[in-house]
Amino acid sequence: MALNVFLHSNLSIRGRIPKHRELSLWCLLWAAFLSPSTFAAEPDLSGSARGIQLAVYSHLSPIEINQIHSWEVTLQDDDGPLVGAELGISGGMPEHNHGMPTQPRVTEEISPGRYLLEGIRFHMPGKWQLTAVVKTNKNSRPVTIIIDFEL
Amino acid sequence: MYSFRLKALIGVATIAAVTGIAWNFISLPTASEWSAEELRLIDSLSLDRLPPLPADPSNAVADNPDAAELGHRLYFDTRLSANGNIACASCHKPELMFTDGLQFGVGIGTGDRHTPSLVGLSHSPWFYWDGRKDSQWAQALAPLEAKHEHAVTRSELARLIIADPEYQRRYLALFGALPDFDIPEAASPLGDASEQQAWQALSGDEQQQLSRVFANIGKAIAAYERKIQPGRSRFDDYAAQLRDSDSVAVDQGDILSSSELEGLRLFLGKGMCVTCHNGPLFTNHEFHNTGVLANPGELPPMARYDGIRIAREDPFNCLGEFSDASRDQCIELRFARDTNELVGAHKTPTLRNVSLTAPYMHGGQIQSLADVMTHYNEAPTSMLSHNEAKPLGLRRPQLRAIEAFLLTLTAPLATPRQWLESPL
Repeated sequence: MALNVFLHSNLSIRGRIPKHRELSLWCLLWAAFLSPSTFAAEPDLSGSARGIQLAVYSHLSPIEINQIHSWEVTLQDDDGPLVGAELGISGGMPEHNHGMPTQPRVTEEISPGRYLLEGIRFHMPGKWQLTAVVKTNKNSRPVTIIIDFEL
Repeated sequence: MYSFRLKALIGVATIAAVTGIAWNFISLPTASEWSAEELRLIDSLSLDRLPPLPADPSNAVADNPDAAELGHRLYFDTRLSANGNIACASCHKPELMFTDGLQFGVGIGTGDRHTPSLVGLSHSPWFYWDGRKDSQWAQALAPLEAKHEHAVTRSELARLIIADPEYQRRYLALFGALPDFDIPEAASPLGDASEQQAWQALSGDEQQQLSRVFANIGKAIAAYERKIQPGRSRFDDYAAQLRDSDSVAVDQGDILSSSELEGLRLFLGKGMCVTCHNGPLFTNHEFHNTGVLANPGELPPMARYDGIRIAREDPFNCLGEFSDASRDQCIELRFARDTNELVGAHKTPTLRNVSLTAPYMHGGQIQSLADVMTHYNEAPTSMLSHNEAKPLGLRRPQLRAIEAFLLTLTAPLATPRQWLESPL
């Protein structure tokens, strides 16, 4: 249904746009339609410490409890994406004194500074706290980024 | 002077008695409207929010109707036991929400765990109280060879499939081929000495063929068990009414009583029940240590701490040779945690139909729902590791209200009647 409306709205403007511009518009709209996480303006979660910015683009958005899923995590500093970084994520619910039900791991650097983190699952509603530890060649010691959020 | 003391004593005693009675028997009036957070939680618990049954990529016939029919027969067939009297249905009884009403499951012998319900279990990524199995089909295999349950061997099971024309026809249609060698009478890598000896006498290929039939039996039984799903309860009607209503009033007509609604409020709030019993099945399918004492004579079990290690070593797990899944599809197994906080942690059971599945807890330690309420209200120190729950400080009328709410989750199954009866 949404796709029909989308196509219809494009057809309706066909007469008013030169052909090559229509093509670019098509490409742009399709790219945004097919890869929302890649082009999303707002990450699902973010945090920073000591000049490193971390942003989470969840494959399950909004993030819900009891569903295992993956995240794409971007790391960058003032010079741009952090390539070849080591990223470890742990966390839990401080109020309940327990951790996550899974042990998520980075399994791939999908593109420079963009990492695939697999095995994310949360099992309770409430306040969660994640700890991201980032190791790069640039920093002599690991950078710890704390991310607080509520489900 | 004496008279004054007596009067003072009577006064103090009266105040104490009235306070005691009020504490134990009188409910306090509560808010008449739900908060936005409470509305969100109520909706999240509704059966209308139950996601579609998750695929089981490790079982290629999980949603095959012919496999469910074969599994249905196997589930009720007492020939799948050493004495010819025990079937899956002997302990997981349809009329008791697929439990048995006993403290411990009783097959050929008596076990040391309470029989869990199978209702909605196919939504869970883990099986057994300690999560030692990562699929429903792999779970179905273990009781067959367990000495106190069915006590049958995988070679006897293969012989049965070949000998029974109905089973043979159905099996071949689903899985293609049966073993083509002279199968020994009783051989199993998990059996007694003679059974293990018979197993060792087989070639690797013969062992693999028998284990393949064994796995396929489990896959057919799981295809049947996926049919066992909860039905719509009074709570779900209330949640639907609330969702469709313009009002956030707690009172939405006669669907739930004031006591049940007070119980629901406590379930979401002070009782903290919803922290683990969440989602439409009232379980997060996870493992928690809630300070339940081990049964007399039993060492406090390591529970999930050992369970995840057993699951990783299981030849029938998602990554094993009998699984139909690719490595990428075994996400739960590959990314499961195994940390110390899992010591003594058992799986959160569903609360749907909980009034029909007594006794409670992994060892059937607690006889009644009222006693379960008392347990969580007190949150005793765990025998091993730490109790995640904290004392609640709830009064008796509040505990009774939570219990009243839990009774609203009882409803006939959504499963068509034909699947609840033996097809044999």
